[in-house]
Amino acid sequence: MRTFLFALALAVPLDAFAARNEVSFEYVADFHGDEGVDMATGTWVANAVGLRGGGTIFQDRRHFGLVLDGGWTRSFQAAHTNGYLYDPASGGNTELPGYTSALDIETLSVGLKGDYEVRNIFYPYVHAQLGVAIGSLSVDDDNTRPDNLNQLTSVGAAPVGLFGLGAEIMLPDLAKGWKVTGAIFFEGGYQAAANMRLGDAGGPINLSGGLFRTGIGLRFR
Amino acid sequence: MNHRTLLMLALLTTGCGRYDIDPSQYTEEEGLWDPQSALPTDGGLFVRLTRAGDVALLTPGQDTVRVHLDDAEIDSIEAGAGSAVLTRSTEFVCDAGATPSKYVDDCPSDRLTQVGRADLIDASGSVARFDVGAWYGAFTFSADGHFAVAPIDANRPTAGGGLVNLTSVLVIDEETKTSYEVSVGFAADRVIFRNDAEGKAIGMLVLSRSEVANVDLTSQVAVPRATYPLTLDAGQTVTPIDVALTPDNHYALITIEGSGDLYVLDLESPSINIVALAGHPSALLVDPVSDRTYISYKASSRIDVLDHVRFDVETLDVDSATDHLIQGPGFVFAYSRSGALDGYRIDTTTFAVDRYRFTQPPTKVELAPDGTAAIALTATAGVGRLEVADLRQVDGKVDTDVKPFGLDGVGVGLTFAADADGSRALILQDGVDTLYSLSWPSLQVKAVDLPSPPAAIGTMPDGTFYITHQDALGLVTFLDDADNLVEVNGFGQLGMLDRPLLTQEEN
Amino acid sequence: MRCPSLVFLLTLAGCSQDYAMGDGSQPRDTGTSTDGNGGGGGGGAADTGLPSEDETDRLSLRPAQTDVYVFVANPDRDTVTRINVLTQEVKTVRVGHVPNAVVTTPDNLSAVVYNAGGDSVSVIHTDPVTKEMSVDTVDVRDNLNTMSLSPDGKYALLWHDAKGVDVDAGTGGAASYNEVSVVSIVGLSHTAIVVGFNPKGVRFTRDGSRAIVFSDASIASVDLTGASPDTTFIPIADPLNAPSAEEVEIDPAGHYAFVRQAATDALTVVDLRTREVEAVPVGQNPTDLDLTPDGLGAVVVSRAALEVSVFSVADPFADPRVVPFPDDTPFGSVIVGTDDLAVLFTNATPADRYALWTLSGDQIALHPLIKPAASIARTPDGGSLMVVHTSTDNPDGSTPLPYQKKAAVSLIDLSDFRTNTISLSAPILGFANSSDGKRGYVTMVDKPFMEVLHYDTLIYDEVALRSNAVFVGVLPDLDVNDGDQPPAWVSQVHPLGRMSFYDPDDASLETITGFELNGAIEE
Repeated sequence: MRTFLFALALAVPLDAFAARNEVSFEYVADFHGDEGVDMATGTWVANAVGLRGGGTIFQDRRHFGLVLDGGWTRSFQAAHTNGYLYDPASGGNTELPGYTSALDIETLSVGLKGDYEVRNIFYPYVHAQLGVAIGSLSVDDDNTRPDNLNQLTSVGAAPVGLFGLGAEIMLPDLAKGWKVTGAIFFEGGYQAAANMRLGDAGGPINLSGGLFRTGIGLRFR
Repeated sequence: MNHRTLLMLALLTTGCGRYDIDPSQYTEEEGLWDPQSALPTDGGLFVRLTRAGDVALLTPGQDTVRVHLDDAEIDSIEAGAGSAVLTRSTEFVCDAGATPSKYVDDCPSDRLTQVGRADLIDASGSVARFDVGAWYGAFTFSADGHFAVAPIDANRPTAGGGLVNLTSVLVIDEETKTSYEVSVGFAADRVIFRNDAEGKAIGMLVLSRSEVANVDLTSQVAVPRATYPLTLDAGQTVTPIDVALTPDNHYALITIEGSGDLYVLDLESPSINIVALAGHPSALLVDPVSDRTYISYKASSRIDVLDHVRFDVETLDVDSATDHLIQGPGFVFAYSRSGALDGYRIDTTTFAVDRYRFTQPPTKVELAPDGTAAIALTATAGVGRLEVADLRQVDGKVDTDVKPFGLDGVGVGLTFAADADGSRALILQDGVDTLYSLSWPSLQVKAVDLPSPPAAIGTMPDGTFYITHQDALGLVTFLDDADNLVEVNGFGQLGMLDRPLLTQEEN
Repeated sequence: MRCPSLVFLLTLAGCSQDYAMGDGSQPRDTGTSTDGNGGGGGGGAADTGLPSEDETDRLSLRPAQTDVYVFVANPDRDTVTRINVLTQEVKTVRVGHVPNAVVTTPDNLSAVVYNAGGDSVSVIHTDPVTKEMSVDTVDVRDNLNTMSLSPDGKYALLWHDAKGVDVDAGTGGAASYNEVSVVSIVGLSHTAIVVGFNPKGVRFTRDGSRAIVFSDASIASVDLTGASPDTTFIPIADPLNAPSAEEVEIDPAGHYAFVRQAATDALTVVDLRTREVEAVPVGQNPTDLDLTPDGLGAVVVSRAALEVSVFSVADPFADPRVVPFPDDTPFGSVIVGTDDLAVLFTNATPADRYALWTLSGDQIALHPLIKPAASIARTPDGGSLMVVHTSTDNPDGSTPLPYQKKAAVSLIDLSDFRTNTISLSAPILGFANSSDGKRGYVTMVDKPFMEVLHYDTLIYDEVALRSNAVFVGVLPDLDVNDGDQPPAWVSQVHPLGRMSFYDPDDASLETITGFELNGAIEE
């Protein structure tokens, strides 16, 4: 909630030339390819959704602008793992009961976006962010019981840096004379993350990887 | 940032209910820990964390200790000595320059070499380290914990070993923390230790294909004191199956697969005599008190008793063949796991035979610590029973009526411990969450509810029982005399995300 | 493997007779059925058409015994195993290559082993205190196959017997059939001597001071008293036309050697001092020659002449005392006892009787046999006869039905001629009699049994063995006053060696198996 208000505050326009102040809802796909995450979630792509808000800190009369933004994303993925034990004596596997694991990654970041306005419709941009990813691994080996002994959580964090190239497309003004418009954006880039150790579960996991971001939001002049 | 702060931050931003999860993916991975690997020691119960390549030391009422080797992954726990355990582990070495990373999965597979090793581990970590090629099989331990010996496992590859002497066994001296190889014979697979009067291991017999080596362990020599051939025909393979030593360590008695010959090896003046038995033996037991050897047969309803001077055979006729012999105080108990219902108590002084008849074929028999009862788990077509044979003699007579108790399932675990009133047997049943205890001689039954289905049961050195469970994230319960249950859980999670580390080569 | 020797033995068994008798007149009275001396051949067949009397013995592979030990040669392992009969303790030593004959010295301290494959002799000495064995090996000439030990155990003569088995025949570039190796057991030295072509046998004087190696055309008299053997070569016949020399006896003083030759009517007497050779006439076809136990007489059986002649050893050229047979039974063999009694029989032709000859009165009494005899042995105390019968029946059909066409053995009490004839399921392979005359032990071809014969009661006990029996022997009675019977040993077929020890006092049998493995134990 507080994040939302923070984003909103930043949206107060400082200059009325271009619609750069923003509030957006975005989907971020992190192609980290980390085996540890894959083991815990069954997938090597973290699919996150989140919110971002930004305010213009500079724009010239021509086309360039610079936005200071901040955002929060969260990915939550779970998997159930069936276990087995290899028996070297018989050469076969013995089945074991499994467990459910879920990895919750929340990323808070601030960054700078520099764009170039083209006919007030098309805004290619460069985007760089710094932030922190907070991971929380939850495991449970008996989902059917709410009081199961083995409901365990391990937490960790790691700094991340994101860099992307994207483009924003302004939608037509919502109403004539309104200073609010809509936009969609697509961005591709790279997230560099430090190793994250998740408490007793160890690791490390590493969320570095290609990034794809897309979203929709409001732009204010 | 410590974990608590992070946790709070995470909770604040997301909300709760994270355990009510509907997973979107289903995978299969190696289990996080091995419930059958539990090994009790003076310092606690060691279990193997299979995913993390570590071991965890569990002690009721105390924090779990995770023992991690920075430069190797632990593959198995072999056996305990005092408060330490001997583990087998693997080092991963990447060719120099192949990768700057420190993780195994970053090294190309064609540049990766695995090196076998053994570590003596206690709560503080690796106490001693021994190079053990991956081609060595499981260790056999001397009773005093002084020595561990591993023969070569012919099924394991010798890659990376250069020229591996396939006739050698590896000896680890746990007191001096040294290891050395002894050349004994090809395809060695059994080791039996010779102990002195105080029970300290002073030597060993190693059984190989068609020969037996007598090795001194008091001095670290690489050559046996004597090697006994079991055949002179190079084309004939004589495979020893069972070996026992006479109490004075003068003779070794060896039964041979598929043969009724008993090889008697004189260990003091090396010579061999072959005693012809009545058939193919099924079990061999040396009774130190009566200084006799008892032999049962697969297909003969008899038990032969051999003296240790002339090796003359005295035959005791029984009603059915047996294949297991257990030593009790003043008697030997014989029974069959091949479907026969009889058990026999053989008095080792008078050689009187008392016959007990179980209601179902026994799968396991344990003797009470004082030898006054034999308790059997019996089963037929999924129906399990616990049957008690009273072995006490009153006025020279025994009560041969067996008392059966029905079980909910098939009994899979049975362990005995002495208690204030005599002794107590704990019975685990397959798929049943309740542990039953049977007191002897009162035959009182008590039930103890377990938190989840058990996997294995055993006793700690201090007499506490431990029960491992199948819970994927780790659960062991400890049970004391008063049936107080203490649970230790969650250790399966330890290191579950760890990535195996490369061993850094010293330059 | 033992197989070649077994084949060899079976071949001999097929001849229905392969053992000499242990009779009381032999100097080494240990009760075994053979002694250390090589036997002679049979009688001539040319003039009578009858086959020769068979009196062979084979030394090869037979265990040798002392007072408590049995020595077994293991030719495939190049080892000799010593087994203590009383404790069954087994020790094995390495000797030369392919040991195939063992004999023991009378002092019971040494065993002499002929290594046929390595052309050497190994002397195994047992320390009298520690009982540990030590081995010394002496090389001998090649192309030899038979060993004879002097009665005092001081010398062993190795020679080539044309009837023996050659282990390494034809392996070299040259071979001689005239050579004899003389090995000093005490001095561990070897002397090669040349004797006549194709030696037929070796005889020693009773004190072991002289050995006679006899061939058809000559005898070599070897003086063993000096620092090295001194050989005197004495021709006894035309070398180009020599009759077959079948048997030689030497008088106890060592003055004369008596040579029995086939197809002659004379006994060749050689004066060993003067080297003079003279033929003394005897009856037609002499088939057996024996000295009386007191050494005063030489007895010659002339089968075709149906008579037996007794010569004085002191004056062999004097006329002999001739005793005709009572009927036309062609007896060809004689066993002269230490008492006044001798046994006459024949195994060259089926005969349904034997004779007992009282020497002092020259009376010969005939006694019937249920079946013809293959060999006869008299127990060392002289009280009983053991008759080993052939499988053929009496020519007149008088063999009772249960014994027809079967092997059998008869026990005959010489005091009252009570007889127990025991039918056997196979021909006899070997036998031994205890020195006190109370027990005899018999093994059969390819049978896992040993028959224990009680001479005092004439009954038998059967002892079952784990595998087929081969050789049998009886230890000497170490203390005749203790009332205990000496134990017997019987070797059996087993790839790794098997021997059983029988205690007649309690009829118990102890068996050890696998002693050949002991030679391969590495220490």
